[in-house]
Amino acid sequence: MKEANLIGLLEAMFHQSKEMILFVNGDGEIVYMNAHASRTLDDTDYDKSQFQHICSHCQGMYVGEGRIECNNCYLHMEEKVTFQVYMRTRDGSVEPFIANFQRIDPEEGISVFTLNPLSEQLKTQEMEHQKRLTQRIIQAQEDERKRISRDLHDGVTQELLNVLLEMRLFKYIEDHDALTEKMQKSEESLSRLLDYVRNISVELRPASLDDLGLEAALKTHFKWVERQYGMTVECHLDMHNKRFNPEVETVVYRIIQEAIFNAAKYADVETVEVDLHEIEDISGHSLNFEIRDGGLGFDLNSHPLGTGLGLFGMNERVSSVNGNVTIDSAPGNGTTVSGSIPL
Amino acid sequence: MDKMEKILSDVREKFNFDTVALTDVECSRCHSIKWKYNIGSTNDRWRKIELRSGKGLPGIVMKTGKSLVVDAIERIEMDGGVFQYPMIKIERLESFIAMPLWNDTEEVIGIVLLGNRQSRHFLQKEYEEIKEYVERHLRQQILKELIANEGS
Repeated sequence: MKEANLIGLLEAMFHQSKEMILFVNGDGEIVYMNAHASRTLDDTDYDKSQFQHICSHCQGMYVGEGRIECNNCYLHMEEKVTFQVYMRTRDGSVEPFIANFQRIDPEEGISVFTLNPLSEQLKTQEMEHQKRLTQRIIQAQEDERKRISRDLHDGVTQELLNVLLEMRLFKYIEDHDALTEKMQKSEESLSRLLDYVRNISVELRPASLDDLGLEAALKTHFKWVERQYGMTVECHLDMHNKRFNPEVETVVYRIIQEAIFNAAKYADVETVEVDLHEIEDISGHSLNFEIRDGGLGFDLNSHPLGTGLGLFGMNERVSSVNGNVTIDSAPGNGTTVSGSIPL
Repeated sequence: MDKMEKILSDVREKFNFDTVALTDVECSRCHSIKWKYNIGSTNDRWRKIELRSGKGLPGIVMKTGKSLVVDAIERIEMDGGVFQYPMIKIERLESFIAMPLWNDTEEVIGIVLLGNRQSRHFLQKEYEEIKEYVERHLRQQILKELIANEGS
């Protein structure tokens, strides 16, 4: 085939294709885009005389589990094929697309970026995923209820019954010393029971979180973790018992709790470090947290060992207060969960 | 090595266990239970563990008053996952026997945990032998120490 012919055909393809084709340079500026791309993508915000930047269209990549992230951007890669990105479109919405990104001119750093609308099939897949997630959440809720119910039944009811039986026998005891001894035993049982019930309620939601604030609640929780899992939490909190919005306090508490649980479950370490700082400077006012373990770590792209609901829950919680959370881990390199919440 | 440690080590060697642990028998009616000995452990995390009564392996064994014999952890469904049983997790046990030790007035005074880091099939006869040995040596030593401490 003649070369001239090929160039003609390529040009025709570029202009007429129903696929969006964009040429992007190393800085992410759009060098060319075809007619279909400029028809589809939202360009209302731009000064036409300037270069358009791909990042003002792109809203992030789909990373699985219903999450969209802007980490490991394809712009810094030689090649990334068949991945899902979200772009802003002309009608004002954010739509998912199947994308391919490939460097075609290494000298100039030019890459070709093609986008196809997400097929119905994939949309259904996403819906299926959402459904599965809902099922898992319901399942987790049921499991939690089962646990609480068992705790109440096995612990509280049993012990109460014991004490009741012991007390019934009191009236048949003639000897005063024997009676005193039995009563002391019952007293011990009741005091143990009181402790047990208190523990159940603290595990459900620590009262100290509402009454004494985040710092006190966290410190109590860290002590509990040490006794429960033999894992020490080294904490660096410098908030001077300051109180925050209750929603923010709950979110931070639960995220730190979840991250520590994960470390106890999977990291196989003796200590975990927790940092929590209030930052106030020109860029804003926020509460920053970081939970680090030097443990086993995991491959971020692999299938989760547990239900995967924990990490999902962290994301959900933090986005409910407009914060962000990132998880950084690699096999053998430990795991770091960090993020911030604007105040 | 005190006398109790010697007995625990003997049990460990005689019956080929990787770890042999014993709860703090001075505190069998306390609100929480700690492990006092753990022969063959790979780390010190077990020292920090303090489970409230009714929780973990000691909890189950105390409540039922019966030995718990597990050949392979992966093959059984444990309530709440292995995560509820920190000793198994920390010591990476794959099989174990958790045995209650009684005093003469029918109270559980301690739990002994005999574990292996591979799965292991326990025959009835083998279990009986272990139980007999533990009761003859370990239980007697515990009772002796309890009485000695009561006197002091």
